Amino acid sequence: MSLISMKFVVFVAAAVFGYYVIPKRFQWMWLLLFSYIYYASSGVKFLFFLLFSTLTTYGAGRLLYAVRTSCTDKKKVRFYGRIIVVCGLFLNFGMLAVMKYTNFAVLNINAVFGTQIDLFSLLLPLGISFYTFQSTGYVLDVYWGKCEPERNVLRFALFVSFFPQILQGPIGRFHRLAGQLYAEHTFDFQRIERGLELILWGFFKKMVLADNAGVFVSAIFSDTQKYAGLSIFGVLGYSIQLYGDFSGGMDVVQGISNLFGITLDDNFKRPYFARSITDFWHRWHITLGTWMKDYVFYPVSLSGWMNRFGRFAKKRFGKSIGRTLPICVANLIVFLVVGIWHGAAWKFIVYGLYNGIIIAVSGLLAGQYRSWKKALHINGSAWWYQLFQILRTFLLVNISWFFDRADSVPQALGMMHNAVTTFTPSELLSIPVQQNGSTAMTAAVLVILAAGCLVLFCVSVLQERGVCVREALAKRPLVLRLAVYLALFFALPCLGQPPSLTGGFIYAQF
Amino acid sequence: MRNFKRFAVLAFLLALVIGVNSLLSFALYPYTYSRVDIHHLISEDHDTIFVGSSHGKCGLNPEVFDSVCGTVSTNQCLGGEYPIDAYHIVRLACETGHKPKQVIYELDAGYFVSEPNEGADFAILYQEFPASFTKFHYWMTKILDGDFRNTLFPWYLYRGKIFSVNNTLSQKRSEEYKDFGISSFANPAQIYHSSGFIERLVQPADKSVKDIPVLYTGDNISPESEIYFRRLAQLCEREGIRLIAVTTPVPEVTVQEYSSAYAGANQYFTALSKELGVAYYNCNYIEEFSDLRDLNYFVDYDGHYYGEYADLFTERFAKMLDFDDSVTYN
Amino acid sequence: MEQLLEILEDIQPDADYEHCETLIDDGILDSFAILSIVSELEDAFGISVTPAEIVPENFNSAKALWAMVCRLKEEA
Repeated sequence: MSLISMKFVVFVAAAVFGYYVIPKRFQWMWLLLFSYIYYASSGVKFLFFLLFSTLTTYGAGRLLYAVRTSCTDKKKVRFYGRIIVVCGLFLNFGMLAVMKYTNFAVLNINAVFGTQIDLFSLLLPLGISFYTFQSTGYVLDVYWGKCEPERNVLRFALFVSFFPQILQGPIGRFHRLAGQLYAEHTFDFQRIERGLELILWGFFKKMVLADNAGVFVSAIFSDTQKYAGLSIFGVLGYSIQLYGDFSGGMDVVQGISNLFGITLDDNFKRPYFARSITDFWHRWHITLGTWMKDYVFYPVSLSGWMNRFGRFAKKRFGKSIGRTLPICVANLIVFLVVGIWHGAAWKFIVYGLYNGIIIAVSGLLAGQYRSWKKALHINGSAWWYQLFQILRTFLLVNISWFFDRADSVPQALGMMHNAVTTFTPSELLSIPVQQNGSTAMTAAVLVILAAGCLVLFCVSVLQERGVCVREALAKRPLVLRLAVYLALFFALPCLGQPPSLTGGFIYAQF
Repeated sequence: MRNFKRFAVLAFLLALVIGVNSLLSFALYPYTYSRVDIHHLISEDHDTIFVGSSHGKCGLNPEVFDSVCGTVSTNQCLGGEYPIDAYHIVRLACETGHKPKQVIYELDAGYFVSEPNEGADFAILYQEFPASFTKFHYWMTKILDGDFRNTLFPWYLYRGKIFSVNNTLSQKRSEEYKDFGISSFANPAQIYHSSGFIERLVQPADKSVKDIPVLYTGDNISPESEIYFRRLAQLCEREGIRLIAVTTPVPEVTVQEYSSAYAGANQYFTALSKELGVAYYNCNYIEEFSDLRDLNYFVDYDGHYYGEYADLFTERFAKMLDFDDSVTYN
Repeated sequence: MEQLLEILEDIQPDADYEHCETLIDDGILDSFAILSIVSELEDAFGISVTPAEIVPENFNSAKALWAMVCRLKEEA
C-alpha cells in the first residue's frame, strides 16, 4: 500500500485512533499488529522474509547474551561471539543478496561466458534492504556491547517491522528507537499537530516538487536524442525530484511516527548546501551513511589485515600518506557497498565508486589543500569561498546523478557530453505534462516548479542559519498557522502531478 | 475547555475544507455524458445493458440492436472502463431495482493486460454513482487503492478546467444540465446519443497516428481484471442475468500485424468464458463479420467504428444473437 | 597526554584540543581524522582499538581520548 494511497490514509487514521483508545500497556502490541498487517498487504508470502530476518537476528542477540553470561573465559566469549555474528550476518545478507542480485549475476555470467541461463522471477520483498540493515546493525551492537539484547521476541519484531519506516527507512538504531516503540504514550494535541504539519510538508515536497520535476526528467532521460539540448535540465530536474521524493517521503514517515509519539533519526539535512562530498554524505540519506560508517568503515579500517597494510604503507610512502591510504581503501569499499546497495547494475557501482574516489582523493590531499589555502591567503570562512564550495559540491553531486538516473553507464556519459555541448532550453516547453500529450500546461507547471523550489530554498536557508522554522511557526497565532496548513493542503491537488504520470516513491523500490 | 476549543477549531477546519471542496467541485467538475449514462441506468428499466470499453461505446448502437430484437437497451461502455468498473455498473443497476435481463460485455483484451491508470477517467463513473452500497463497495475496491486526492479532492483531476470555469458554471446552471440534456456533447468528431451510443464521424486527421495497442503476451494478464470478470459472471448468475461477451471487430490489418497476440488473447478468453459458462463471440474470428473489417470503416487502427458501420455491425450481431441457439447459457 | 596532543595537532591543526569537549558532536573530527588518530595511537602506545570503542564519548575531547588510551593499555 503506497504512502499516497487513500488506503494508507485510512490505515494510519485507524492505527492512530486505536493507539490512544486502548490501554497504554498494549500500545506497542497495537503497533506490531498494524506493522504486520501493513507488511502482509504487500503479499502474505513476503512475511516469510520479514520473519526470517526477525528470528535470526533475535536469536543471534540471545545467543550472544547467553555466551557472555555463561562463559567466563574472555577468549572463548570472543570466539563464540564471532561465530554467532558471522552466521547471523551471513544468513541475512545472504538472503538479501539472493533476492536482489541473483539476476544481476546471471546477466553478467551470460554476458561473459555466452551462456543462456534463464533469469529467475524473484520479486523483491518490500523494504528488505532497509530492515536487513536495521536488524543486522542490532546484532553488531549487541556483539560490541553497545546495547543490551531484547528478551521479548514480539517486542523485537516491532523494532524490525515498525510500519512507517519499513518501506524506505530511515534505518533505525536499537538503542535510540526501541525504547520509544515500547514506551507508553499519552495523547498530545500539539504533537499530533506537529506530526500532521510534517506530513503535509512531506507531501508538498513529493507532489509539488518531485512529481512536477519528474515529468520533465522522465521525458528527457527516455529520449536522450530528441532532448539532447535539455540534458542539463534533466539532471537538475532529477536533483530536485530525488531530493523532494526521498526527503519528502522521510518527512511523511517521520510525521506519522510523531503521531504515535515516536521520533525517528533524521535522514536529511539540506544536502545541497554541503561544502564537500564528505559533507554531502553527512546530510544525504544520513542513516545509511552512519550505518556504513559504524558497521563497514570502522570495522574494515580497524581489522587486522588493514592494520598490516597500514604498517606496510607507512614504511613505503611515509607517515602521512601511509596513515591515510588504508582509510581510503576502506572508504572505497564502503562506497562500493553503497553503490551495490542502490541496485544490481553497473551504473550504481560506478555511482558508488565515483563518490568513494572523490572522498578518498580529498582525504589524501587534505594536507595539500591546507597549504594551498595558506599560500593563496584564502580565508576558509569567507562567504565567497563557502559559496564556491557549495557550488563545486553541487556540480560533483549532479555528475553522480547522471549515473544514478540514466539507464546505463554509456547513456550517462553520453548525456554528460550533451550537457556541455548542446543547450536548447526552449525545448522544455515542448514536453507534454498531461496524460493526453498536451503541452498546454507545460509553462504553468514550470512556473509552479520554480515557485515550489523557491519556497523550499527559503525554508532551507533559514534552517541553515539555525532558525527552527517549525518552532517559529508554532509560536505564531492560530489563524496564521491554519492558513499555512490550508495552503499546503490545497497545494497538493492544485499544484501536484497526478500519479498517472509519475508513480510512487523512488526509494520504496529498494 | 481547552480541548473544546481545539475540537471547535477542528470542526471549523473540516467545514471549511468541505465547503471549499464543494465549491471547487461545482466550478471545475465538468458535465460529462457519464452523468447521463448513469442517470439512465438507475432511472429506467433495460432488457440489455452493454458494458465495456470505447470499442463498445462506438461499436454497439442500442437503437439498432433494439430494432432487431424488440428490446430496450442502454450502452454503458466507456473508454477506460475496466472489468472492475463494468462489474459495479451492473451491480448498481441491480441495487437500484433496474435489473436487466441480459448484459453484453464488450471484451477488449487491452483491459485485461493493464491496470487502471489514475488519469482523468479513473474515478469518473464513481463520481456519478448515487450514494449506495455499490458506490461504497466501489470506493473500497478501486478508489481506496488510488491516490488519496481522488477521495479528498474529487475535483483534482480537473484542476486544468480552471480556464473554462465560466463555461462549466453556466452549463451547470442550465436547464440542459438539470434535464440530463445531450446537445452539448455533440461536436464535429462525434455525436452522443441518449442511448449511450457514440456515433463517430469522419475527420481529416483520422488514422494519421498509428497507435500501438496494449497486447496480450501470454503472461501479462492483470489478476484484478480477471477477478472482476469472474465476479461479473457470478453476479449475473446469481441474479439470473444472461451474460454474453463480445470482442468487436478490429481492422484486418491490425489483427494481421499482431496476429499472434490477437490469437493468443482469443484462446485465453475462449477458455475463460467456457469455464465461466459465458457465451463469447470474438468477431475477429467469425466469418459473418469478415467484410466489416476494412480499415476504411474505422476511425483508427485500434478499431473504433464510424457510426455508419457500427450500425451495420450491431445489426448483424443482434441477428446472430437472436437466432443463435447453439450457444448454451447458464 | 603531551604525546596525545602532539598527535592530534599533527593530524588536524587549528583546533583547541585542550579545552574542546565536542570534537565529534561539532564535527571537528570526521571519520578520516578519527581513524588517523586511532592509527597513530595504536603505534605510539601499543594498544589495539576495536570498532566498539569508536563512540562519540571516547573521542569528544582529548581527556576522553586519554582515558580510553589508559584503559586499553591496562587491558593489553
